[in-house]
Amino acid sequence: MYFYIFDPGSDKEAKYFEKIQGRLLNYLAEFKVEGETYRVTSIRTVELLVEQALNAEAKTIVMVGSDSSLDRAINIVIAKQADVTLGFIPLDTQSSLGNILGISSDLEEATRTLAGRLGRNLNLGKVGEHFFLTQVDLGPRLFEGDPSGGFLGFGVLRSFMKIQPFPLKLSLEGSYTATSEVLTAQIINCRDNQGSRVKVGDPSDGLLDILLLNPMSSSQMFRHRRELLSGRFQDLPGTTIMHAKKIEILGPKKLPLSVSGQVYAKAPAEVTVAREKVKIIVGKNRQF
Amino acid sequence: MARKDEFQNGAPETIVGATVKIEGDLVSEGDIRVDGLVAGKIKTSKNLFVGPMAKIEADVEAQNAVLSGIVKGDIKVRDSMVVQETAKIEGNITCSRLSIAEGAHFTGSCTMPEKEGNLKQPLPEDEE
Repeated sequence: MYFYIFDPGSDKEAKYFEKIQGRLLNYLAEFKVEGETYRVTSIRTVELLVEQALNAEAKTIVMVGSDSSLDRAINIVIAKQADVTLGFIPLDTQSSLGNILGISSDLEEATRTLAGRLGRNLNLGKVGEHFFLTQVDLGPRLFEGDPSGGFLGFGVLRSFMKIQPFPLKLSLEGSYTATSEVLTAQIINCRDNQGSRVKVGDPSDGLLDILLLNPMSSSQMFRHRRELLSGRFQDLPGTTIMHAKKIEILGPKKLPLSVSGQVYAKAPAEVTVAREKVKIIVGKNRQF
Repeated sequence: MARKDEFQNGAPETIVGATVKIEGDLVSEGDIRVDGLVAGKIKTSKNLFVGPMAKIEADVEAQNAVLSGIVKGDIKVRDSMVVQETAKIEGNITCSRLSIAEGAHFTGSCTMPEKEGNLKQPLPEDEE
């Protein structure tokens, strides 16, 4: 039995949501994957609706919405230790998770992928009590996504240049420590590698990838603005890349650790590969 | 002789940047590139690259190694080791194949275990 949870997200998306929902319901019927549908409102949150689906003994829960909708659904499924397969239909054309999982934002394609039922058990990262599929940002979250801040992205680039480096100290696997001045750092379980020269973040390898972005001069930032604006720090020369199952962030104290802009812990803290895995329907164009 | 670019089929898996200092045992199943400081031990079942600005005070084990920086410690390389002209090595080396560029510094001993197939045949006794 399929349970669909529609999350309209921001008000802007809600404006077109009825139309999208109508089209999607037609495709679900066409591909014979219809099921019960719920809609997220200010009272009926993603968490409540996922719980409701689990209580109804759902075997497949499909989130229709944004990356953060799926992230929230994963957390409640893991917290409830539910034996359930998750599906995802991204409504955002720039959806990172859609790209990673190989699910198109085209509704027909996404429904076809869903009907294919190709499931994969994916690793999750854990920071504090929060599980994440994508990445944790250590310190200031540098801009990622649409590089249109100001003229040719120069507005965003100028904000990069104002960021002060800070001394980061990590312990990896309890076997060695790494210290460095960094502009920012990321701990990645999986990420959208579209257009990247160096691939990082394979959610099936049982490891987290650590990226440390070293301080850069203004001219270096200008030269590598494309990588900076797209968030592909792994393509920048001199970026440190390490791998571990367990990372302790030892300092600086009170350094915020955030997932999608939401702070879940402050240093000293630990980020690990979770024992729990999540089963998600993926497409053949997935990046792992 | 092994060349540096022979190892460069794909990006190194672990990269220690120039500003990074590592203390402890850096163990990896993939390639390692070091441009910063490492004190402790480095062990990989694949290839190790040590950049010209790197400083390593550690015992090193790798399948192949290309060294351009400073290494203080014993180095065990199962296959090929290339020492570039900017390298300074203080320690004992064990490897199967070795190349040292002119200008490189090396203080220590070198052991090259011969493979069984390469053992020289005993010379036949002179017939009278």
